[in-house]
Amino acid sequence: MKKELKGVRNWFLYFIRTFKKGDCLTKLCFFIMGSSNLLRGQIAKGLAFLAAEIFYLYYLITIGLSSLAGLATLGTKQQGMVMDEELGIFVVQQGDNSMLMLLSGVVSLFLTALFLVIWRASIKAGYEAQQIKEQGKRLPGLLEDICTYFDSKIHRTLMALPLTGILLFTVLPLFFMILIAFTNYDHEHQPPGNLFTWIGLANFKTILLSGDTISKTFWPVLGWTIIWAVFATLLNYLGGILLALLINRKETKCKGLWRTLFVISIAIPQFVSLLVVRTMLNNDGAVNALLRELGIIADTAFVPFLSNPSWARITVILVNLWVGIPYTMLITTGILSNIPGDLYDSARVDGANQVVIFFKITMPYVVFVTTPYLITQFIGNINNFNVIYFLTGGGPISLDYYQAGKTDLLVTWLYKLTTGTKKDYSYASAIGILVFILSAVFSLISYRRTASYNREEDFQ
Amino acid sequence: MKKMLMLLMVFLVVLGSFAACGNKNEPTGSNSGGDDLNGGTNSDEATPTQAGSTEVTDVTLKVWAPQEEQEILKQMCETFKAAHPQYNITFDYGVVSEADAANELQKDPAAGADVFAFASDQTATLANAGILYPITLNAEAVKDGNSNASVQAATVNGQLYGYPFTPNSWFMYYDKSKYSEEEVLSLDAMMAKDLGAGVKNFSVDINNSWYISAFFFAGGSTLFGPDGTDPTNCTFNDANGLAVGNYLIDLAANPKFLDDQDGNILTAFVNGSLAAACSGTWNAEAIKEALGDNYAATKLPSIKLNGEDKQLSNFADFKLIGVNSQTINPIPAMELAEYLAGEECQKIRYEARSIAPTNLKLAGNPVVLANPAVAALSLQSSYSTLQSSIPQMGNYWTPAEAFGTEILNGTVTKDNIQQKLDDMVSSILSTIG
Repeated sequence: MKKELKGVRNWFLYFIRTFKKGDCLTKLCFFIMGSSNLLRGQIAKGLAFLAAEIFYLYYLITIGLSSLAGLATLGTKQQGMVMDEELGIFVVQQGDNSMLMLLSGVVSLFLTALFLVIWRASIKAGYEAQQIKEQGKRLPGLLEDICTYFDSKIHRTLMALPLTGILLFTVLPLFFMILIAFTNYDHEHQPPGNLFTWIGLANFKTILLSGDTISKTFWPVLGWTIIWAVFATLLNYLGGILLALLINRKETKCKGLWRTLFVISIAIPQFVSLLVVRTMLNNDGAVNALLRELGIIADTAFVPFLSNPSWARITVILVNLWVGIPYTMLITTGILSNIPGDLYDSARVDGANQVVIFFKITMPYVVFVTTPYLITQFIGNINNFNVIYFLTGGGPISLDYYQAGKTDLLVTWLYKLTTGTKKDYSYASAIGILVFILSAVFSLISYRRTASYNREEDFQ
Repeated sequence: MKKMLMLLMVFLVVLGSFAACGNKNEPTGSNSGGDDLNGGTNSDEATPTQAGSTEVTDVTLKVWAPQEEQEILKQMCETFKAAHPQYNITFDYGVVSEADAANELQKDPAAGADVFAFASDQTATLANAGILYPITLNAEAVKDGNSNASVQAATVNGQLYGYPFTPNSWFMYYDKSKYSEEEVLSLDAMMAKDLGAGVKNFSVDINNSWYISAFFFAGGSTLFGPDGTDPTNCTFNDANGLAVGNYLIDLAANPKFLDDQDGNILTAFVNGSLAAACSGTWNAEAIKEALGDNYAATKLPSIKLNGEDKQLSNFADFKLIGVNSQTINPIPAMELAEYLAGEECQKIRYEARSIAPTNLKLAGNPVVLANPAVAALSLQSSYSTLQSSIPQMGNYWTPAEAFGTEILNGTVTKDNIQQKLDDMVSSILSTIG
């Protein structure tokens, strides 16, 4: 953390240092980008920097400044309707659209950040040109400069496209959506008819502390999310290891056949098996019909696999085993065949039985290798949208909750908040941020404490 | 010295380029969705065309309709185009169902259709979000031509926001061989009849808030006050509501009752193990096929509460044609919407797809009444309760569904029902924060 902060400080300090060290041309290029290169003979390079500056200033004057001002207010003028007597219709008085203003504000912030990076690059290039001149060397021409991008700077060339893609399609939208959490963009403030505005941390207060319907929903749903993640992860993990051990035993015949059988459940798309199970477990589904036929339950009764809260919670955990165990089995199979056989031999010579061997040799080895996998699985299960959505849809919904059901995880609940009848984007965004904090804190703490992180050189 | 001169020159060049920018100080087209953040653009607002002017104006209209309607939609639009020589219209058709229209429009109203079909339960949401254009052209003719309930469903705060074209509600289908016309008048009589082992007498989707309300309205409870405009009032938990709740518990526990889920009524009708079920015209074809000659439909039955027969009263929902407030051609768009929801098009829809009309002339037409499902829908519509169009209505669906779910899974019992009803009502009336 300290290192990163120092890096940021140095990044900005660079400007001051260079300004002190530079000659008058380098100083000038702080204001007129590229001038140092231009006047020392690197025409193309200088012009490119100058063009970037002109473009940015032009953008700022035409759109940028009003976008940034709009980002601060998120709109002041509401859409109105004025009756036009002559035409006999209302004429729409276009108002401000808060959402589009937020978006264009975010875009202008990004362009400003990009400009800062280019500005620094231009200063750096200007100062380098000064240094090369001072050393009495010849400045590289345009072709030589371009060639370096396929030689010593090839990493930049290769990274340019993926980086642009990530910035445009991931980071920018993400930033925009994070900002929504600090506004009141909910079902009562829908553009274009209404404005929404900045309200700071009020959404987080409402969700965590208010004791209103939404916070009465948040804590129980969070509790269930963690219970689900713990059970789903641990049971899948243990089940997978046991299955792998069973198949790996010397006495087991046709190992390939067994593995194939279990892997087939991976071959079927997850949502297909989940939807099939959902119809099977209905109150009048195949499983209940079978139980009736066998006389286990009365002719009109049913086991409420998915319609009773406690049953449904147990059902989703069990069905998830069907989907998850084969993956762990595959991973552990590889690890088990890696354990040195002489460890087992010496254990047997010392008179250890199967149970002791399992707990003293097999488990430590497997746990050591798979802890990072376990953490990823746990975080994945906190956000396990598929299983819950396809199996119960979060149901059975409950009177105690706001737009949520008894098997809803935070992630499916926020899905309902954004796509349901209510468009509570701000709350959903706040919940998303809370989930992220939860996952990030948990994974950082646990990962740093794992043996595989601290003692990487063991087991080599 | 030479350097200094150079410097000065560069400086002048840069200044000059700024001055050049300063001169043409008009916003270029938006590049980031930030179009024109300081009020209305004048370039965007085409002057609305005067009805009756002689010159031909170019108009582009984007029209959304569900998949099943695309073919007749194109015919209807072409007819409209021929009838209005003063416009040179280019149509842009999109496939969006009535249920999804509101969602799609809320994503980006400016990119949405100019004219679209949507379900009336979305009227309030869309009107409050400023997406629906208030209808003022020929509004009186629209109000007089269609059934009163349908006009009410399209009205928010006294202002018409859409053109109704079909009722979208539910009634009862039944098997003629199992019930007489007399028996289907009372649900209690239906449930009392023994139809043999393995046959269910009646099915309704109890854990669906759209259906469960019919029981509460039958008992005389109100949602958001008698006229549906009071967001702080709901009487589902009064003495009437309590009687209804107990009735629902008994109904759900009755072995002859089948809860409608995942289309199980169709299978049950096909194999003869169900005598009556509640659904809408969207299932008419399938149920007709399943029941064959025994196919029949009628209004919803009455239920016995505290010894009195009370008629089940469903939500009066409709499908409407709306106009997007962001449209740049409001008048042609309104004229098209009016035509698409008018008598002529309602007739075309009825003939092509058995869509029931809201137009008063058509609804009384004997040809239309010959279709059992459409007739049942019309018959039931006089017993319907208007669905509230206030924003708070959005809060009704989930708690009511939860109540139905808890009745079915036995969480609600006769001991805790009052508590559960109170919970439901407080959820319906709750505000987030």
